[in-house]
Amino acid sequence: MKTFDRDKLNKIAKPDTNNWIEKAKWRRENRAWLDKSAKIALKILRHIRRESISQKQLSVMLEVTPQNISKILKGHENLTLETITKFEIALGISLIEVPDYQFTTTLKFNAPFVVPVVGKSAKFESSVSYLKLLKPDSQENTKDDYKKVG
Amino acid sequence: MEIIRIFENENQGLFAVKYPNQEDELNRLFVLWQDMEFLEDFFETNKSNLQRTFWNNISIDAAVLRTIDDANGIMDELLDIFEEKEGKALNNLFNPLDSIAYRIENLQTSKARSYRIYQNSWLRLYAVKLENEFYVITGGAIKLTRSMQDREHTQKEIGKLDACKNFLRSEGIYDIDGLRDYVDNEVK
Repeated sequence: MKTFDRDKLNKIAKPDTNNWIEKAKWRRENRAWLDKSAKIALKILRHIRRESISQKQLSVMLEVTPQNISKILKGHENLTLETITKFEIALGISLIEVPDYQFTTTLKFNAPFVVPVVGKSAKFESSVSYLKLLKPDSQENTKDDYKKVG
Repeated sequence: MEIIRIFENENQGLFAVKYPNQEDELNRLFVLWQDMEFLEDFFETNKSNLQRTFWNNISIDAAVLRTIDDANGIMDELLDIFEEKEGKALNNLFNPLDSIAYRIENLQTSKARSYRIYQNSWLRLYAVKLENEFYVITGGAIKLTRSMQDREHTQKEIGKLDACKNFLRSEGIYDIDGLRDYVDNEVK
């Protein structure tokens, strides 16, 4: 017993001019950055809701059109670092972060062993008990780049 | 109402209904389910439903991100089926909808859930099953509540399923004698 007339279906079915398959493939290929764009958009949306900032006000703060704001808040835009930073400054929030660097070094002068990091003190065995590394490690570092702290 | 061919080959076909002045349902739904502005507003509006025990009082932020993940999951499944990957089939994706009792229907009403990411996804694609591996998507919803009748947006989907069935009958795509529905597992 036939229940489904495929010929009739094909006569009435129209092509997908929106091309869902191609769009889906594109999203799959670009998923990594699209996820980041989505998360940034969400953070902005939640913040402006909490602070009762309208999208129109946001467009004025950032000196862009409301249409641009709307596009960004959909979460599909490949945002530049410049744009992200503008939002961060305007809203006073952090949207993305770069992991901190950790520097390690050994003192180049007359010290047996030390592994200091920027801003932190390191103890080593000499006439000076503690030195603090003031800036990132470099071949050009001299003893002046270390501050005696105790 | 129009029927849009999403993909079709010898053994399988996915179609979607297009209502007047709108995109077809598959395109329309995926635009919404991947629109952060829509999702944030949706979950804010429906946050009382997120506080149900079943959803573990999930936050709005987490709900939005979970929806994106689920939408990606369904999308991946449909792409795998389109690309005819082994073990992938529309019959495996769509589950029969009707619950409680058997009804004699011309057309089987079915829905798709995403199983890839979360066992209990709240995303729904509703479809009429023409026959094995041939489906027409009639709509979809973000279903936070238990039964189809509970909220206006899911209630609308029931009407769309019926309208599609009537349309397909009127176009002669179906003969008179029909198929039975099956019991479905609703979200408890």
